[in-house]
Amino acid sequence: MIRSVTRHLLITQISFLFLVLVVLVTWNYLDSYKEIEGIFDAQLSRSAHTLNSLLSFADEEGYLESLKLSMGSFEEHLMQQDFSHSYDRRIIFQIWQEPGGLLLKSSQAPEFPLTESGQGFVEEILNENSWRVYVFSHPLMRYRFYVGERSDLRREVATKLALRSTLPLFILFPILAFVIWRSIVRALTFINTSAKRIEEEVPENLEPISLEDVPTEVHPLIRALNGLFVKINESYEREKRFSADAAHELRTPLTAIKTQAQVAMREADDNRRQKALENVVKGVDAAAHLAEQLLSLSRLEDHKVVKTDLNLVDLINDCVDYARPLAKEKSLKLKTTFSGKAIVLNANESALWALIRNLLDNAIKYSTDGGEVQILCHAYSQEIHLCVLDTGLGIPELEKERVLERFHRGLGHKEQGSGLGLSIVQRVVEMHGGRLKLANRRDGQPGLRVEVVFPTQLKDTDTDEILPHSSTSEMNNSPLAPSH
Amino acid sequence: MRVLLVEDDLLIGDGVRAGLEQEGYTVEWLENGLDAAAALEAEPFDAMVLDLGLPGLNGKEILRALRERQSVMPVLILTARDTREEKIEGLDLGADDYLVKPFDISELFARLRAIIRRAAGRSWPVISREDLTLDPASHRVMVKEDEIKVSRREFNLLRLLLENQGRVMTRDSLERRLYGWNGDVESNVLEVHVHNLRKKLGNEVIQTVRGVGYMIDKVS
Repeated sequence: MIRSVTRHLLITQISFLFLVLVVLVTWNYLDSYKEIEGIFDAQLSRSAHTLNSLLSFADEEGYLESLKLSMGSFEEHLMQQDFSHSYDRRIIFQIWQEPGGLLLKSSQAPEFPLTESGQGFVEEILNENSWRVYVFSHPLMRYRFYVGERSDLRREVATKLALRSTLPLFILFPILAFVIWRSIVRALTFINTSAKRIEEEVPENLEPISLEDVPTEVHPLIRALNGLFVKINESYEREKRFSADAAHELRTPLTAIKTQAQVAMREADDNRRQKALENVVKGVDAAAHLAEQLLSLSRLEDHKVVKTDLNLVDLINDCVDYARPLAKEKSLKLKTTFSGKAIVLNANESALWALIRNLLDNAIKYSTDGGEVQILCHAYSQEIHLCVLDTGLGIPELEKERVLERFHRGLGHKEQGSGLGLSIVQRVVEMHGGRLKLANRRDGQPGLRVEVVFPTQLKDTDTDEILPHSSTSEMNNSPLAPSH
Repeated sequence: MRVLLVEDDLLIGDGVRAGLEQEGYTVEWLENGLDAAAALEAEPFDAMVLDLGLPGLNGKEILRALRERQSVMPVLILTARDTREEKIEGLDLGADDYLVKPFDISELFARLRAIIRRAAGRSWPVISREDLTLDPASHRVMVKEDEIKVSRREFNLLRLLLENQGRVMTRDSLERRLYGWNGDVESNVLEVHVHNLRKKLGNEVIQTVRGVGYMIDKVS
């Protein structure tokens, strides 16, 4: 994970640049050293040959003596022979005669042979310094030539050459580092400006950000943000609509409570005041119910929905138990029919609970006293069908389209309700990819038939339960008189 | 005074009806627009309190139909939406005033009094005729400086006749406005009230139009 793009780029770029420089210097040094060694060795051997040519007159009388006398100036000559202007080449030499021993030597050369080796170039340690020694002896001649030179000079020259060739790079290094740093910062400034623009624009309107004047590398990020804005906008709009609807609908029970309370305050007659106060309580109940329904609807708007395998038979039976007191008040029969002992649907439990409760509540509410509410649940190979039938008036043709609207309340009944029940049902059905169908009963009886179809893939173990072998149970066949 | 209340919410409807009855109004409460439209065609009302969000036929449609029939009945609309558009639309359709839910019941009474008064062509809150004054807000009847004690029915009858000065009110219309269609009206009950009022205010105020009803003359 890169915490800071700037720092990451700077560190990698500049350290890589530095590494390149180090490699370049080393390379140059080794290369120069090799070249210099060749050149110096060639000169060393040339010096030996010069000595050899000096001795071509050795047989003449007095020559060697005069040569020994003029040794100092000869040494000087040897030193200056090539490019020894800036470097003290520190060359020493010996000429040995065979037989006869040391014939001639430079002033700083020792009395013993510079090396044991017979011919060619060797490295020797003399006086704690390392020397490059060239030995030359002509097979036809009596002389042996030793020419030595300090090796550290070569390294010094090689280092100087290597450094000199890379010097411009060393001078350029800080400039390069600066340029890299500037370009990274500048490139990232584009991102920063885009970020600032987003920051400035977004909270006001969640309009998509234009891709103009934004580096292409940032486009995917902007596109992702724009996609997010669309989603946020949608849920924001939904939220806004929802709270507007909710606020509007809460006014109804609040108005009822206020009106009834004010009537009670003004009422002199005890019975009528008592009735108004009871109505205040009813109004509070209605508001509480509305709040509960709103809450469950807003929970359904939540995108994080956990689904588990539910046995609809158990769930429906639980709901029926819950609704039993309500049904009792209207002396309604509650009848359930299932296609098997277990009908499994992968769904959200609280959503399904809300769906069945609302369907049951509606059916009970709109059924005429002494009627019957039927719940049928059948599992087929690809689908589960859940039907709730009541013995109410059904829906008039006129209202068919409006019943699913939020807060719509049906005509021609005396029931209080939030008008949210079917909205909740519809939302739950959508959430599970199902279908909702409202129609008047097909068996000729008056009443509404609400059908919910959930798509499903039944598990193998359930296949033997596909064929509906009806297990009908009847509940709450209460003979109690209607309570209202 | 007979008021038609059209409100689909049971608790609000019940509360407003009870409140209006406390104020001495005769209230007919209907829960849906279709019934309300039918009632408006057939029955006399002195004012209407109309909820805009109704099942069946909505409040705006009722209002439009009413004004198309050239009715000048004062109408107070109740709305749960306090958006400007809603109020403007309601007033432009012919409502005389509006109240946003949740409202104060005493404000509803005051606004109702005001629109009834304006519909009768007065801007003075107290109805007066020569020495006689009637204050709809405080339910008081005065002759000169003296307060006259009247029953609620008598007050309403007197108010009806005073609001319609110079117009003959038929017996039927008076009975319906005083008792609504639920009240059992004994055949001579109206005569009893008129008789009592005449005893308190003097014989000359309320005139009998034989075979038709009663009226209070306009003072020129």
